[in-house]
Amino acid sequence: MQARDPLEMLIEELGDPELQESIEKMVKLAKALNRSGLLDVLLAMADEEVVARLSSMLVTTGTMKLADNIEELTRAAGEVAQALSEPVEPVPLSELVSSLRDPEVLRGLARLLRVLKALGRA
Amino acid sequence: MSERITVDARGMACPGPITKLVRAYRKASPGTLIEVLATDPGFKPDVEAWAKRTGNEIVELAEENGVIRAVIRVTGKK
Amino acid sequence: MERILVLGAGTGGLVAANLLASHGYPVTLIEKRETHLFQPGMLWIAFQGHNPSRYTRPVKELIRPGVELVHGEVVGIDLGERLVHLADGRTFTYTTLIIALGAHLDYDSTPGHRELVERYGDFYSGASAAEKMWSHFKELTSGRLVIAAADPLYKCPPAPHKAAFLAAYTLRRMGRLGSVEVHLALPFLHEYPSEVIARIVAPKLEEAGVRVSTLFTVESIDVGEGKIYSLEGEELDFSLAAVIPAHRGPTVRMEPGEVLDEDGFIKVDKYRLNVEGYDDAYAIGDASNAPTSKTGVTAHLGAEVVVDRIMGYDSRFNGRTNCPIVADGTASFVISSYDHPPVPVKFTRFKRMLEDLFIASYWSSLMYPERWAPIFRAYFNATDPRVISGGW
Repeated sequence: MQARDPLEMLIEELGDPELQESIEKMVKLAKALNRSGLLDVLLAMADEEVVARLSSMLVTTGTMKLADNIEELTRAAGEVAQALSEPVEPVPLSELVSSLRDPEVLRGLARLLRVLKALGRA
Repeated sequence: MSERITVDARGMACPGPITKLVRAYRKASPGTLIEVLATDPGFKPDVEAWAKRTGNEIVELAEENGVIRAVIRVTGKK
Repeated sequence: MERILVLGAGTGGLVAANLLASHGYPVTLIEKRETHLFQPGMLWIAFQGHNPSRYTRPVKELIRPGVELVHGEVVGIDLGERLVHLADGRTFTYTTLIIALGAHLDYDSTPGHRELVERYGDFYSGASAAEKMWSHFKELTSGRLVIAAADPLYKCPPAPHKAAFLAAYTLRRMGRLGSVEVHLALPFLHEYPSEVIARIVAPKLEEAGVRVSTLFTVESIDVGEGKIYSLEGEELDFSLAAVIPAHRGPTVRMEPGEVLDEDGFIKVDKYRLNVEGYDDAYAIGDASNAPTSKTGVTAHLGAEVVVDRIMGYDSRFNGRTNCPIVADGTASFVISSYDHPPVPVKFTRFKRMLEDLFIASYWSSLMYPERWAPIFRAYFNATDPRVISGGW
């Protein structure tokens, strides 16, 4: 296989209308980013020390665990939001005691205790 | 007297000792005694399970000063 | 004059050479191959039909200015004389040596193995072998695919599991999982060397429809009859099989020979990674006998430690692993270090996305390791096995 001149290959590529269109859009984007000042911010952020501080802040044991459980968390939040939107009547004490026999309520309490424990640890 | 191979897996963590035993077993002929020395506490149940599954005989299995010594007679090979 | 020699342009060698160059050291990198292969890619080539071009790049496009690339095969290393000999007769001298020659795949110690790999390919010996495996796998309409290993010590401990998962998902998509059995035969007591991981992986394998045999160490293969025999006295019929070969140290003449262990791996101080008895020679990645998993992550982290040490910092390697187990849409990691056994890490979609990001950053992290270092460091600190010992 014969190695081709990279410049020659580039010139050939430039004849491609799709590439011409992409380049035009990229130039527009670059100008817009520059005018808004966003490019300056990005350039400053690309500094090694800033990246290090940013990643040690964003990538932590907490965020890793949070992201890992985001599905469960949003599902639970969705259930809670729905429960909140439903009308409720005040519950008499006698009914409160009997609702403690409901396995869903018991599971919820068990979870609540775990959450309290985790909050205590934190 | 039967042939004897000694495998020193002291200081190796799971699954190191069993890996070493498997390798010694590959080279061993029937009747050979393989002696394994290990410090990983998981080695004791592992070697028992290994011997049971592969049909080899544990002649000796003892622990002294944190070192587990297992002697296996190769009976699982034809 | 100072001259750092790096042997091998795999993950460890490239990271070491590029890092040293970024700090202004004169580096010579010796490699026998023209292209670098992202080795986990072989799994996707073999069992999902990916194009190999996704996972290969010319070595010369992966080095930075300041790294002198020498094309040649290392055949001898003389640590006392500080000499490296190449197959074509050239000799190089060094002030500091980094050996990153990888492991040698031994297809000859298991009868029938070479015939098997020549006929069907596999997912260990290269991109073209993986393509060959795919060409047979995609035609498999009935029978049994066996994925097995000839020895419990091989690189990337979850590789056979990943192969089985990927094969099972492909078969399911083709509607063939009922007629083709995916059989994972492992040389361990449980579904994974670590029982903690085994308990997490086993139900996932069952869910994927993978059959598992444990304590099955391949002893010989009869390609004509389609049978694999195990050291433990069992046998398995196969229609198609991929057997992971036994791994040995690099096939170079080493002077003195005492620095090699019984399998030819180079004995190192497991924290400092210098070759036992030498302070001007290091061995990283699969070539060394460091008691951790042989993976790209350990090679990468080892290279960083060695470069730090060359620069005068007292950096230590802690044996950290981060081996991904990829299942359909989810992933788990085998996270351990010298002083902590693997922690229970459950399969989640987020971890699969993390693994996708690690793979996406691969080429860039080889060339610009110092740019990625702070991000990786944050991840490794956040997931330190001592910190997440209760599970993640």
